[in-house]
Amino acid sequence: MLTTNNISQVIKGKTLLNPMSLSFQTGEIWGVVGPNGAGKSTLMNLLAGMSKPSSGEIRLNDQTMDSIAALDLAQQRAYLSQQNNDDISFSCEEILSMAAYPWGKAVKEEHLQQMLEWFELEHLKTRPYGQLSGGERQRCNLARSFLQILPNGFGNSILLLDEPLTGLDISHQVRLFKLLTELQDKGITIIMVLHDVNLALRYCSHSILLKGSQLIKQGKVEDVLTAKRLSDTFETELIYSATPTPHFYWA
Amino acid sequence: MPPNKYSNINTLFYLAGPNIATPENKDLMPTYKNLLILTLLFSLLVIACSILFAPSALPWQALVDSQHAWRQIFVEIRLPRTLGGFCIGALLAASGVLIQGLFRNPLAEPGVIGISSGAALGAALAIFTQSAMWVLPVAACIGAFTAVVVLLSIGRNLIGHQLSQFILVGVALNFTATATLGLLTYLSDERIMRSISFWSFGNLSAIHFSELAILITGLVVLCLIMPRYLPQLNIWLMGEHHAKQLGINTRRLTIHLVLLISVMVGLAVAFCGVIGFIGLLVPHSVRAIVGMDTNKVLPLSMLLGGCLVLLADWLAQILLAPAQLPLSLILAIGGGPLFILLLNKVQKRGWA
Repeated sequence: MLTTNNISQVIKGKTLLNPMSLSFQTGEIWGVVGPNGAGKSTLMNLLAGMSKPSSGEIRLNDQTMDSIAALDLAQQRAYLSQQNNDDISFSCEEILSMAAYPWGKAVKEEHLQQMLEWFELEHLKTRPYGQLSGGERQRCNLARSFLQILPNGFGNSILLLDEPLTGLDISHQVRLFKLLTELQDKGITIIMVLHDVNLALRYCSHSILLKGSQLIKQGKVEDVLTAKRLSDTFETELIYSATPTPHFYWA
Repeated sequence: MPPNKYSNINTLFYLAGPNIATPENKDLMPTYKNLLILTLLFSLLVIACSILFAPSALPWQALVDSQHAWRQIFVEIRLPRTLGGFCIGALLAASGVLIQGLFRNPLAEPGVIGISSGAALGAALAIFTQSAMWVLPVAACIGAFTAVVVLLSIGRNLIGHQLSQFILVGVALNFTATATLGLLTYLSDERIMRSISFWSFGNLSAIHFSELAILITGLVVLCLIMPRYLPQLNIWLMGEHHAKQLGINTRRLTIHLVLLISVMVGLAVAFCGVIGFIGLLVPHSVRAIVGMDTNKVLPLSMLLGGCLVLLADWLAQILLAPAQLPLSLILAIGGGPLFILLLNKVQKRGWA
């Protein structure tokens, strides 16, 4: 559904991403893992169609990224980046209703309610964003990303999340992942940057390991995130130890 | 279970969240619709008072009786001055809302960051070259346009991030434009000098029927165009990245906003000179009541901006009667301190 053919990103002579070809299919949950500065956010920006690759091409549902109109693209994929403006005083509800923009009509009340419920925002909906805590802001941002592709019924759409767990407490982390696994069956493709290897192993079906703008390995999560490879990539010794009863943290 | 570095901190945050008591004053606050109707009625009242009482009482018979002794004063002075002043206030307040949106900076104001001075310089050049009357507003719009474009190109990387540094760029531009205006005054003969110096202070006395016609036409056209940009402007306020992500053509939006702002500031400055602080005072007061939603802030700001100019004009006429004070002076007395207060607040907390 989303494929890249040898895409790379070079800005002002600096290589941010070396050529890589990837293929994402419907219903897969991808975890992008790698040390700081590995090129994870650059890759996400390219996949979201926010910037043009220096070489190669990206195809979404058999159309090249360049040929898709901006509003059509916004109906097919939602991208939660790390670049969020914090000092604004829109209420949580107002921010959520902006997600309906690509659809050219007001947000459906039932959809709004569903999101407020999923992310436990009901009691915060009239509160200005600037007064929310870090975790609450992130929940608000997640809700608007989901809301953006909700009119599709999540079918045939892509959700790109750059570090979605930032600021979330454990209960909300688990809640989010449960939600993502439930949506898998509806035909959504999820690609997210994760720093928690344990969660990636637990919930992702596939993984991309990046280091120094280079693709180290991609494929099924259990093949990519092995103790040996992770230890080498992060230059930190990591041991794999399965807990007897699968728990949240088990790698 | 290994300790998670996020857990402690964020559990704390989460617990703090719902417990922070916010006064449930939602029921007491008037809804936006009621507020709009209320403001509209208030504006009509102010306009009526301005026609009838500013600066001295006008017999009401003059409104209906075409032979009345005061008829001429009503038709040729009070009516254009009041309606023109209201239009200018509305234009300046609206330009404040759009400029703050475009630059994602709550401190941006046409008078402070040099857009008004740019327009004044354009207008002065038109006078200096003794062009036809219709050239004046056009030249003012071009002047304002140049100022916005210069600001956009110089302060590009400061937009939305370094709020006070961006204002400094604007203040520098303001100095440059004002100094050039001064130079122009120095170079011109006395007659032209007098009409140029009129632009640096702000005065409603030059508005007659032809000016009023242009102002009203401009305002109506802008009111028809603006609403379609407001949803985009709201999203733009969330950040350029987010706007792009939602499918907004940010480049086109920027260009259109620049054009709208130029026309607004150009029209206002062309007919009454530089009046500062309306674009700051009004949108901020409105935002404190209805929040950040531009769909609500803009209409309310326009109405209140019009009222504020009429009130200031009334004061300007009566304080040292029969002499008339410059409008900008009256507004700066209120606007200056507010700007300092806001500067402080914005440096600490941004828009919120």
